[in-house]
Amino acid sequence: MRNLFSSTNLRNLVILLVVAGILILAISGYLTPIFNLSFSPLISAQSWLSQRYLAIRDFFTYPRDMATLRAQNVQLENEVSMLQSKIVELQESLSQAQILYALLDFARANPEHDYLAATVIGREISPYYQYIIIDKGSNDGVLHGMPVVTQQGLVGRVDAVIANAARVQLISDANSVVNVRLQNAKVEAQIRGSITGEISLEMVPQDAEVQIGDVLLTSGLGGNYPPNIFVGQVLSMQSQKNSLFQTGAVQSIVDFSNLSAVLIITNFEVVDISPLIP
Amino acid sequence: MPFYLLTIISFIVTLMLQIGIVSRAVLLAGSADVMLLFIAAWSLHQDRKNAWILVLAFGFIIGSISAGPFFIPLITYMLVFFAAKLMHHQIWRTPLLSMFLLTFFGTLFQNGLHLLVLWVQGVGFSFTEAFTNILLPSVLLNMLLAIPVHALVQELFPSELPVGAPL
Repeated sequence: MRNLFSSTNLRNLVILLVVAGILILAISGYLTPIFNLSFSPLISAQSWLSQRYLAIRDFFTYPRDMATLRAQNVQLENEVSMLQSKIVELQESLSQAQILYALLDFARANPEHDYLAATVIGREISPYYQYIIIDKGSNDGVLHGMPVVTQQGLVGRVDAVIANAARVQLISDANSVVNVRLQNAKVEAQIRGSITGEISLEMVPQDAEVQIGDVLLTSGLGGNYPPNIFVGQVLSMQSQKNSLFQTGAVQSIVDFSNLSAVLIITNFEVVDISPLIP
Repeated sequence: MPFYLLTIISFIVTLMLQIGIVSRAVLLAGSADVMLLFIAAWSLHQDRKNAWILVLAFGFIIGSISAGPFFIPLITYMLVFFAAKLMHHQIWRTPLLSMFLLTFFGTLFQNGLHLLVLWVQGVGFSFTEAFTNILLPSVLLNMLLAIPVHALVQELFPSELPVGAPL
């Protein structure tokens, strides 16, 4: 019992109580100002030391990081180039898909014909002739004379065929003549191409009242084209007193310079009326 | 043998470029004819005895592909070839000048033949319009492309003929 209250034990007990008291005061937050006051210089010193260390470390490791950054930069530039080329590829595919969707919509909207889609792979060498070359030929069932259209309207007709390609004469060619019908005026007429690709309207009766913007559709006469295919609009008209017919200029709805895909009407049978022509 | 192979490959590549790209790039209504330029430059840089057979074959191929009469490219290319042979000896110091002369007169001749054929066929056209919108732009485009085509052909087919050599 005497040992229990020995001076050593009492001292340990006092220390324990002091430590417990300090802990209780610290936990309850009473010592926070004292801690702040005492730790603040330490933190400042630690911060200063750390900054100096980082500065010295950066100074020695800087060249190595430059090389790494350069390598990363090159790698990223390569990735950017690759992604950009991928974007261009995808945009190209998207544009092609949009054209094909439009052609598909046209084919669905006009179910009376059978269509074969073809890609335009070239143009006629001579600027005096308006022809395009497509990637479908006799192997795909393409025959001479088949009409060619897009979702916008009439393009022309197949002029020459080989196994895997065909040449299409555009309606803007100088040797092309298409029989048309003026939708509003309800008269038959002809459109003729030219060496520069402009289309003129001919054989319009003098008494026909043709307005600018009147729509032209194929009439089906002559048996070269099916009827009611959109051709274009009247751009201007000229009427001379001494002539039998009115003439005019036609704006085709199809942009022949930017044709990339077309539809060939495969179930249309061309009627050859040449033996009947005297 | 490599010479003929290279010539045929160059011809095919030029033809693809012509049909796929050059013919689509129009100025007013005219377009360049790189086939003619290739024949002119190639004729200036070789001296094989049987080269005219190749030119004849090329002319026939182009004539078959083109919607126009097949004899127009045939005649034009042969004429350009023989004119190049003459020029190589007469204006040997400046092959580029020969190229320009061949291009200018070759284009004029070819366009003139086309117009003549269209006129014979009864196709109505205004000569002024054809001259302004097709012929002149075509000549201009051909003259512009003559320099790069000549340079390229010169690199592909280093001249075999000693300059100023007798015919």
